[in-house]
Amino acid sequence: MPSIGEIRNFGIIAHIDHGKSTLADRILEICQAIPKEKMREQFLDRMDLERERGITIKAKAVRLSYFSRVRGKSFVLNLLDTPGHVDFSYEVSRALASCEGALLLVDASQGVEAQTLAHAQVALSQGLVILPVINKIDLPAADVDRVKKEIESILGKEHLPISLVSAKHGTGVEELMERIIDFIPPPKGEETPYLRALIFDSLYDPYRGVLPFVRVMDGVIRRGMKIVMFSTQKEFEVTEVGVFTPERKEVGRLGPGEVGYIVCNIKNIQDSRVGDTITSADFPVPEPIPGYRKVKPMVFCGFYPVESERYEGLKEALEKLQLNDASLTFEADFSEALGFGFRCGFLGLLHMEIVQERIEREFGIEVVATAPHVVYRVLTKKGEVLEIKSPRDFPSLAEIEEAEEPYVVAKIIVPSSYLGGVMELCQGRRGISKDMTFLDEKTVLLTYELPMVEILLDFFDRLKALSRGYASLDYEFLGYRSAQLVRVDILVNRERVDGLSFISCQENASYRARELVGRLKELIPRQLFVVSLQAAIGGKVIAREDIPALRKDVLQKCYGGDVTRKRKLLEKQKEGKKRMKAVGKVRIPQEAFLAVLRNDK
Amino acid sequence: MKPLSIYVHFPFCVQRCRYCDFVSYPWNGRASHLEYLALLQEELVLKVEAYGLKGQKIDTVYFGGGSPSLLEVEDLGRLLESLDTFFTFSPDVEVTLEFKPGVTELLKIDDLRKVGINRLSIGIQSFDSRNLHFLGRNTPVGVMVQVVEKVRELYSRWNIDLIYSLPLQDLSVWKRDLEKALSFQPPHLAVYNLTLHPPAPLYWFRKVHSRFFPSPEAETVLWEWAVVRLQAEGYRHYEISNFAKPGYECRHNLGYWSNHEYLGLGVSAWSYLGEIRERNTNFLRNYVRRLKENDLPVVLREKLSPSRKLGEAIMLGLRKEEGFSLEELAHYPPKVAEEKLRTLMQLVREGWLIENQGRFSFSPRGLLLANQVLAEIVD
Repeated sequence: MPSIGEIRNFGIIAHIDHGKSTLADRILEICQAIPKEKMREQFLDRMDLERERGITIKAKAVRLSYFSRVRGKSFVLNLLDTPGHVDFSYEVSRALASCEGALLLVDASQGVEAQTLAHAQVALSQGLVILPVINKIDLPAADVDRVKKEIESILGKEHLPISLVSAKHGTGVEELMERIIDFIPPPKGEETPYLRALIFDSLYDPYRGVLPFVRVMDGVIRRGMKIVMFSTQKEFEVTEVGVFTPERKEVGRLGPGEVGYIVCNIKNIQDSRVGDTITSADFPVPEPIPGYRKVKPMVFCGFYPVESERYEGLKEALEKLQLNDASLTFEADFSEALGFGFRCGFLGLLHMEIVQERIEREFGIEVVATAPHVVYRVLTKKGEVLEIKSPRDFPSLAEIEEAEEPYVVAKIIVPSSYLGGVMELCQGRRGISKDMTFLDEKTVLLTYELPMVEILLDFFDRLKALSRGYASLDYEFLGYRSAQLVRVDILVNRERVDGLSFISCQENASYRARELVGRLKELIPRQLFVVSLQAAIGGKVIAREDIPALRKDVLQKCYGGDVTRKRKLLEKQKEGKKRMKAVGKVRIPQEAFLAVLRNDK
Repeated sequence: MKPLSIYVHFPFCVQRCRYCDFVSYPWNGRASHLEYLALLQEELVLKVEAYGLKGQKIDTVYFGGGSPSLLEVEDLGRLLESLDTFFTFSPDVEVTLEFKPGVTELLKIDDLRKVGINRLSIGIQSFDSRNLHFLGRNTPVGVMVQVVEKVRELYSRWNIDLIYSLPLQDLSVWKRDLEKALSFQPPHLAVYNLTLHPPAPLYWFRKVHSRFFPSPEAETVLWEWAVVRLQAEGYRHYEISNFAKPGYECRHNLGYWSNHEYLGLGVSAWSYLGEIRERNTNFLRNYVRRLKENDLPVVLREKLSPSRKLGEAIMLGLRKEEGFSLEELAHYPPKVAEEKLRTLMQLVREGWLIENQGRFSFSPRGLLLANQVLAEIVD
């Protein structure tokens, strides 16, 4: 058992592809945590998907033993791997709350990116010691001086010495290890009976249930003791206490400042909430560790199986994924266009993509995902607050007292040469400019407040396109703000078609309505009569198109050899008509419904 | 026994027309003809035997293709003679040959008459050289005119095929074509909307260049003008795409539309005998192999359910000016008949069909949307 002064808890803050996992591998190597023959590239990224995408989805903690030649003794290093993507910023903040220091890892050729900046600010605000590290110094495109300046503009002039490393080749990593020992303070904490431990992640194990990853602040967690989850007040008995080295290893107890996992028969991941405080059942603490919040999905979309008979399979897949992912929610749903499926909630777009990909890859179920959308809030005249997840539930204008939509604060780092385009994009998306800072002559940090719905559709793609891939984005949920929201209905021959409605802010409604009506005109085949397409808010028509009547359907010849073919063609035509949804006498094909749900223009 | 029609397919062409999706192989001269004719002979023997057709009365014979006018006249004559030995030709039997205009064909016109061909259907398609080039037909317009004049001189029953809805074809271009055809006063005219299916090369061409083709609205104008013009000239619009001076209708094709039985011979030929529709193989090699092994070359056979059969009868009957007669319903199970009748009445109420003394036919509006209307009638 290490003494508290010999423990260092730290995380690595880095942007995707800046070499976080490679650096972690080098550190593991130096600490001889993994026998050489078992060393796979990027050991910490467990899932294949993570490996492939070069990102770490879930934070994990590894306990390492490092022998400092300078000090002539061993130290216990707890390396907490943190996800690099915006969607998981809450998890990052909890992982950082379990550390005393963090390495700020920046690619020498890429410079500081928006996400790095956001995470670094979280770390600073939590009082962590930040050790700046510039990686990939061996690359020909490395511009160490520029990156140094950028780091200075984030951390201020008074920052700690910057380490220059090449994680790939191991250059400078040993020196970095010594700096970790020197600059990152050991944890503080007392061995009292009043246990306070922070859950910063959890893992689902099919045999042992949910394993919370914890950082003990004060007190000790022992095998056999009874613990209580602060937020739910549920009690559990600890049956195992251990650490990952990265192999799993039982240790029997975790003292103040230590990091590890516990097994305590938790069946439901909802009982092991990231950020929650664990305390002792016999000696409970009165106050939890600050910073806990219940993660709520912010982005919603529909998942529908491509083959409708895979519905049950999709449900099972979602249930299994949920065991490991408390932030994933889903409920059964039905769509005119896509049949039976699920409305799923995610932390953000990447989270959504990852879940979709895991369903397809690990469960072999092909999924159609609808365009992502947000949850609106409506205060009705009767004083009810409604959470609107579907245009179907949106009340009529007369019933609405006030409507609100979610906003985010977005930080965008962009080379100054692309500044104009990016600002225009943000303005066009109803963005409110908050701040503009030059990190150096060539790099600008923009801060905008944006309606969340505006960044869901193709904001990131547009941003990348506008800046030739150089701009980076980070956003954080800001809160709900009042908005002029309307539901736009599509009327086909004056009849409202349920599956074609959408919610929009007033100022974009006409534009979006015109666009949709134009696309529907292409997608709905001509009928035997004129079909009018109208988009309306309440009773007011804001866009209109007519589909002219079909005037002639080719008068082919038909002789002895054509009879069967002709009949089959007609039978097929009839069959196709049957499959379309009839609205009044108008037949509307599936693709038309998809036009509203998807956003592939 | 009701009289029977015979269709003989001749699947060879010198050059494939770019709009054509019929089964056709490159022509290799007379030797390959003779082999094919021998196979037709064998098929004839097998089918007469298998279907018990010996001595059957024959009302019409139709040689289609391909380009059956490539056949030597004497070879065609022998085939007709052979048919005559198995069947009984009615005294006024109609024997039609699809005739592709060309210099060598020009010389056959007179002799064809002598071996028993009494109706020629000339595949003109257009008198405009730009259109002909587009369709992949390279007979000079002058030769075509010569052919038409000669046929007109020697035959009383003959037909001109014309295609409309070609690229860049506006009303004035179409008028020129149709007026040119009318100037020869053909007793029969078939006017086709250009219809493209794979593997016709133009099918893909149109996918790419659709903007050069008349829109459905423009097609309608071309079509309606042709109908009015031909009717003014004394032609009966006796079937969707066919016009004839009274008494000069194609009896063979009328047989198809009246759901009469027919025997098909040759590669890809369909037969309709005893409520069964069947098709020969589309592949020449397969056709040869089957017959060498004394097998019928039939690859597809469908026995029609009463409901399907009635659906087809209505679909075909409605194509005719005289329409579909309610009397036909008597031949079907009451339930089937009643169901279709209900559909027909519904279409009358909606204005797509007209009912007149027990006959259903298209209204002018319904005719333009024939496919849409017919889709309601089939199963």
